[in-house]
Amino acid sequence: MIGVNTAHRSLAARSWPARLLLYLGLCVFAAAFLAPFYWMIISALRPQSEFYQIPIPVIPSHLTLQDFVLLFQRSEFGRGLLNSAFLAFVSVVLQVFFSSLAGYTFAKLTFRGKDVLFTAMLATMMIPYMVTIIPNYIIMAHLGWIDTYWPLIIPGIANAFGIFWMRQYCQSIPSELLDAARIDGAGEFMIYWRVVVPLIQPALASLAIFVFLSTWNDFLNPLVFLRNQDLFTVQLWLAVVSHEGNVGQPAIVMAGSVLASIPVLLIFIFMQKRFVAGLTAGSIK
Amino acid sequence: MALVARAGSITRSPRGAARWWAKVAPYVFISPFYLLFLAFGLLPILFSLGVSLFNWQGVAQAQFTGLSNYGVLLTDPDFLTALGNTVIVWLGSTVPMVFLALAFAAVLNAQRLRLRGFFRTVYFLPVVTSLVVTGLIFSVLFDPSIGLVNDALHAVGIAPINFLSDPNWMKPTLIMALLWRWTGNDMVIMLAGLQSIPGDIYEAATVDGATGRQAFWRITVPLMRPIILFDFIISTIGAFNLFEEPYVLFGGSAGNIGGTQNAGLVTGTLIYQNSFVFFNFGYGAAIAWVVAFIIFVLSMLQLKLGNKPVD
Amino acid sequence: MRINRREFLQLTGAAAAGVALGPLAGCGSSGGGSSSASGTLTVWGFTGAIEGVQNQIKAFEKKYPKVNVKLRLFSYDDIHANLLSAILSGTGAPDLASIDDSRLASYVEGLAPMNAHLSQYQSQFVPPTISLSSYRGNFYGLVTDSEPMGMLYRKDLWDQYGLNADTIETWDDLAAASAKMQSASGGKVHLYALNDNDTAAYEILAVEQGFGGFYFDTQDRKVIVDQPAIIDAVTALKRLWDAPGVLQNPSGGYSGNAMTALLKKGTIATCIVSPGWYPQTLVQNMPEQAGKWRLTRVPAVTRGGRRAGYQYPTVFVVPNQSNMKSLAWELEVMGLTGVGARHLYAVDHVLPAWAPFFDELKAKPDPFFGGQKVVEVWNAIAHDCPPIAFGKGFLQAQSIVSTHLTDILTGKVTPAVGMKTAASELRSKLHLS
Repeated sequence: MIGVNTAHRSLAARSWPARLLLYLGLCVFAAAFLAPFYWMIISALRPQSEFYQIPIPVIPSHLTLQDFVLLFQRSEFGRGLLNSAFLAFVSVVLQVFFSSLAGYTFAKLTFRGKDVLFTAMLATMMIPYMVTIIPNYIIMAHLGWIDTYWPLIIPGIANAFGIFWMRQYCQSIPSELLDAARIDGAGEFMIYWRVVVPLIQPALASLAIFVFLSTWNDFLNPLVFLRNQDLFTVQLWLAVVSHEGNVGQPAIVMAGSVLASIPVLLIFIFMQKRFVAGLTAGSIK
Repeated sequence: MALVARAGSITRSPRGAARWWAKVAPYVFISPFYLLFLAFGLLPILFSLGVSLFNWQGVAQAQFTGLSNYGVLLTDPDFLTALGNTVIVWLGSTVPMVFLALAFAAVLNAQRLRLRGFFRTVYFLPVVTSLVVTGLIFSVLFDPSIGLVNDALHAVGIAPINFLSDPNWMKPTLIMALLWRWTGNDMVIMLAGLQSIPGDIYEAATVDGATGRQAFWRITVPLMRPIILFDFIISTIGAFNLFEEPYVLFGGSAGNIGGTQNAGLVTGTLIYQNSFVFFNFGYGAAIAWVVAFIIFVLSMLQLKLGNKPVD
Repeated sequence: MRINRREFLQLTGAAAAGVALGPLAGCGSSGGGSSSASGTLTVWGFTGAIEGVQNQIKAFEKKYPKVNVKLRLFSYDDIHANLLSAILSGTGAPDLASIDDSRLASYVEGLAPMNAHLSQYQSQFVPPTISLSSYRGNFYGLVTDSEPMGMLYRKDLWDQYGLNADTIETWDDLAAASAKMQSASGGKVHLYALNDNDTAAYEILAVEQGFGGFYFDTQDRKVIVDQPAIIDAVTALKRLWDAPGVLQNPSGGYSGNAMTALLKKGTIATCIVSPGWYPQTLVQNMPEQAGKWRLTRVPAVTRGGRRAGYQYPTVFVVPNQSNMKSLAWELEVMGLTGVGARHLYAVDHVLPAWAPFFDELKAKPDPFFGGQKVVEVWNAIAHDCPPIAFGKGFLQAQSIVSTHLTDILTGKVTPAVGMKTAASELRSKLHLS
């Protein structure tokens, strides 16, 4: 804990013009990153008649929730949000667990064939996914998994990206800690569960963000595998709404986009609090 | 796992069982990936490798054509253009993005920074903003007649630029769009990575009189090497699979997916076009396998370079 | 000019407006299933094509109370990829789906031929729409609209600068008129604009030269883009491109806003490539120009030659997997003829393909075109088109030819060399002879 403070003492110690410059720089970038998001929210809240108004007003004259009401009238958007939340939650739990276990194993345990197995796993990430869509569909069709959530959950558990990420992060775990636990008689799984997992909280949190984001935003897989509207995810409903071609439909799509982005944002805000150093440092002492 | 352990204990002493388990555990821990991959991942990959040896279009019966798809590929001007464009976009976006992400993360990691959580969240917003919205924003910004950027250029006396259809400007515009959209994502990787650096190292450095900048280059960057390496490799895979952004920016029509003179054609859009627009599956698969090979070579190179011991 | 409805549908999701018209009045049924049939009938469609069928679902369900029709809307791109995966895997395909006619050939092995119904509907649909939705002798479905290609021009501007549409017989006449327009207007008005990758113009010329496919023969067995008649046509296109006063590659391309803005300003006096649905975008975007526009036939490559072109409507098909084929066909008929066809027109304003309705419109003067009976002109063009088939490699061929057209028009290669290179690229990528 102490270490972090010292590491960035320099920031506090800076002269005020330097700090002003730093904040100014941060704000310039922030404006560039914020503007489209802000525009999305404003477009969803403005009356439809003003949708194409140029220049886009920074502060709209008046706001209305009409587009959100229409969104829920024309689609089962609420159901879609719940379905997506379920899928994302299940995927996060499964993928974070299995990825961290395998990633830790690759980083810290020694076993025969490790390098070959690791390289093979990396290689699986490199085949452009587009050419596997159709064979994948054919397999799922043979399993009778079309129009179920299985194709959206099970294959994703084999997450090479997650394992690679965890392996890279786990390289920073001091081997002494693991050896000490081993001498104390802890089993291999217990070492992972009791010693490693607490140490790699930031990596778990970031992987949770990535898995949540990719599951939540996935359009292709639900599109290909789902038929029954009761199972539709939020992205599918968004697509349905945007293909209806009704009057005022762009503003309704905006309203949907806003709602679809909020859960991801909440997850990020919640998870980024776990980007706290010191756990590793603390346990060495 | 308990079951496995118990099975072992029937014939071995508890001590032997533990030793046996320590040997087997690594394989058990990584096995879910390989089992699932064998069940779901391998077949599609082998299938696509097989398809690349066939003339297969649409629903029709495929005919075996050997390596002829690969032969055509090597002299296909579209493929060579896409490959060149992808390399430019890959280098042009990956290097600045990794650097920017690391810089953002280093600044936004400081505990004394006010509004730290707010800035982190805002920098992550582009990742969350829907692609449709991003595309609209880009067309509003870069349109030659009504775009805001050209309004600004006009104000200082510069002739309007067709950012989205001038072959000289399309790749820089795409790179800008990628930097805007994905730097926040990489920042999260870096932010997490920074937490793995033990604080007392900095403490020692400060005692030795190192400045913040020196500490960044001498401690942060070397210790973050596994994380930076990860980011580079992931970005390489991402660049060669790039699809959404060039499709939204240039792919107004399916037959002309690369925009003016194919200046915005990248390998990801070319594979999509051949597989899902032309339904020329054999040819699309052949492109994909050549691209996979290129990614593999580039990744292994980076792993080799990145794994060199420090000093 | 790059105009096609496919692109238009992709870009806009179609400018559909209005609520469902009063439905009902089941139309003349074709021998379909019995009214005791039961089950779920799945329909996939995209906006800009589905409205007629959508409109008839209620009437259909009233007729077959035990059948539940499930409609799913896709984007234009998604429907094609999804239908293909479903057919390839043998499960998950709908009972009825809308696809672009230019892609029909890619699916035919997985579709149910509707030859038994051909004789009944051949006369009910404007030519060449039946040939468009047929492949190697099998007939696969009815189309939503008809898309003959004509030429739209601003009569006021033509008059003002001393041009007369009746004297334009060939593309060379048009090129000469462009020079005249330039000098008469002092460069203020361009007679027409052209893009350097303009396959839409190329496709008209191919039809005029007697080819029923644009890139392949009508049996889809041979590449035709290096035939002497095609090279002649491309040479004519090159002259059209080189003519003084042509607006080459207008900024922002030709799809959508950029084109509309130029036409609205009166910078361009003629749309040389205009499918049957296109006038509607003018009506919507520049109502103030009502009365100033006229429709005429596209010029010919050679004097006295054919003056017609054709583009690609949407076709409704029934996959082989369906176990409700006759019911699906009946819904298709309801949606694309009678009340359904009229509804589609009311919502989308596409030029109808259902002949009885098309014939009604023939007598109607169009105020936007100064009272001209435009549908009569469309009719004449449509009847001059040879039977047309697109071929399995249509989109890839279009893309390849587009690249080589650029080289030809910008003068990098001669038409003969350019088209021969395109042909060999096409043959090698598609494994054709």
